[in-house]
Amino acid sequence: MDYVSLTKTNRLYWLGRYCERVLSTTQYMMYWYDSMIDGAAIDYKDYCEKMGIPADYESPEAFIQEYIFDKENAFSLRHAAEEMLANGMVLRETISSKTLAYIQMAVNALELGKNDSAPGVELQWVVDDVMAFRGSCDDFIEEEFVRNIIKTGISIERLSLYLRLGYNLENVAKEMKKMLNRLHKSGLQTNAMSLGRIYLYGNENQLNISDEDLLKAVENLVVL
Amino acid sequence: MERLLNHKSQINNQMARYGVKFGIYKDGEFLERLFPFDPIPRKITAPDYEKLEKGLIQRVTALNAFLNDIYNNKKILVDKIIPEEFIYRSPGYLSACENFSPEKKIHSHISGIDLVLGKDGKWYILEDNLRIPSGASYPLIARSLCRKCSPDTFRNNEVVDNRNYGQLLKETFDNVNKGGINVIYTPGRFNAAYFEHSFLAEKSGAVLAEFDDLFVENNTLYYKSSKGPVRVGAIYRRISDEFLDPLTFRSDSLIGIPGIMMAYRAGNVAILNAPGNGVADDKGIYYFVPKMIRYYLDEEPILDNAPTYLPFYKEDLNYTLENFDKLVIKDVAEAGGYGVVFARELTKARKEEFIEKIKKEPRRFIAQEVIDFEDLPIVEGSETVDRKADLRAFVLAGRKTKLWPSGLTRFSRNPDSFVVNSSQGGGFKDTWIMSH
Repeated sequence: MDYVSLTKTNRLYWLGRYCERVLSTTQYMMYWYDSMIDGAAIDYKDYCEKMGIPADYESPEAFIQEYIFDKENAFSLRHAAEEMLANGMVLRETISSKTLAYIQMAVNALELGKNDSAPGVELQWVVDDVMAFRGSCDDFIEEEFVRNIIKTGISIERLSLYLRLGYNLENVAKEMKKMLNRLHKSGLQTNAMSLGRIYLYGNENQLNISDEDLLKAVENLVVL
Repeated sequence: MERLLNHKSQINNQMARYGVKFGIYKDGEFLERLFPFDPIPRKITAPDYEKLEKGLIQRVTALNAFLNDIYNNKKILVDKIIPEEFIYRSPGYLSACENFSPEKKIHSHISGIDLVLGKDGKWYILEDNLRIPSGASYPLIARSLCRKCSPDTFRNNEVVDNRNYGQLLKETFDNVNKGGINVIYTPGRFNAAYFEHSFLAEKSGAVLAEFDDLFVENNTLYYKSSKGPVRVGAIYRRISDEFLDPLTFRSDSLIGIPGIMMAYRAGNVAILNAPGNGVADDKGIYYFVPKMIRYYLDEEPILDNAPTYLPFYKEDLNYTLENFDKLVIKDVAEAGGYGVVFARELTKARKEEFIEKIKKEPRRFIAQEVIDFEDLPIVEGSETVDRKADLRAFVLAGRKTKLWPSGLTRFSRNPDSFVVNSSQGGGFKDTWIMSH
């Protein structure tokens, strides 16, 4: 029996969220980095606006470099990776050293990629390590509710990103169903109003609600 | 051995993978660093280990007897083996621990004893650490990573397995558990030894808890599980006595557990190591440990202290002043390699100032002969160079008192330094106990 305190519950949830943030952002940035090789313009200002973060970068190239690798930038991918590691480190005995090692390796890969002329190789390692981390969570975390707290965090973050970046609503509804299933098994406390809205949207598709309100419902769903 | 050296970079990559780090505070900022690891192990032969084992178990047994005596009958004071001055003026002595014996009279469950091997081939005890000695996790993880990187090394060398530390720690917990779960209590992520706290929790199967995770009700300690309170039977606290309970010790402690001392004294929870142990690992008390062994066990000490003088005694003060330049002076209130002064290195003015300090506060200092202790080879770049190294041995007092067949070998990275502490830039090695 794994005893999980409220503090740990909080960390497990945020571990899941940062894990997804790192994965999705890395994949997004790899796509943009590749586009820029052929001189394609990237609309990073629009991206920053949708994400609700400052867009004060000197150029698209500076955005790519700083947004991916700058540890001091509180909105960067690197910062999210450090937060993922910080949450993981304090859960070592719950998630195991071998599972934690994958997050450490993802952070190490980002550090290596910082000065690499071909950072895509290291970014691919970040993706691989985060995916391996997820697999390791599934395999080595004994308690189902613990796994589901992490997975709920992952789903919530994914939904948040989908809604911010204007993803296809069909995908949003699918992810909501998945998230509700995980949430149910996690034992996490929820905000009844948010849950009602998400349930109606995800399961019944009966709700007329703006993306903005739906995002609020997602962000306020879990009460920690 | 050569095989292990060839795998140095692989081993270091593995260390980075597992985040084998320690933290230091520099200019008020918390920095986390990989703990420099040297792949050449310290080897201890079986006969040497056997002597160490007997000597260290003897020492810890006497120290436990001393702690139990000093907080209860005080026979050793009545019999004038140790002057009262050294007890009641010690910052480690806690009146809150008076008239109480912990479960099975074990005060020091996990003891870290620092030794050096003199060039005369003898082991000397330098220091006893009976409060919260750190370091076991490093050789523990290093061994498993070295085995992974260079299995042939371990096929061809008969090294005693050290990977049972988690089990030993669990047995130590279980031996005194008062009914409930085992907890390792950490001050948190920004503690220098956080890696160790979390790693040992994983290896011993204990729950890692922080200050907000525990509370005391009806003199019973509970863990705040998301499924409701769970009783704690034994807690290995990794914070200093002074911060442990704001209701008993420092009232401004934000990382303590209010009421834990009441739960402890009510016999409802075991605290590892027991509060108040600082009175026995005070550098001033160190001088008296051989006397304790004779007094409590009626045995001759198997292992020697480094020759030590107490300026508190007139004769020793005279010796210290006459031989000042060849001695190392230690401030008894300091730890972690701080407050250690090699007299020969002082300027004339500093020397005079220091001598005045010793005369004024003789209880505050001890003087020791500088032991010319062994150098061990370490890899530096493409070369192998010799550096000073000590050994921290871990003695666990469970149902039986046992020496862990390994230890943390720390070395100085500075060729001119005898100071090996990680907080002073030192590195570490694995310690191999050979099976013959």
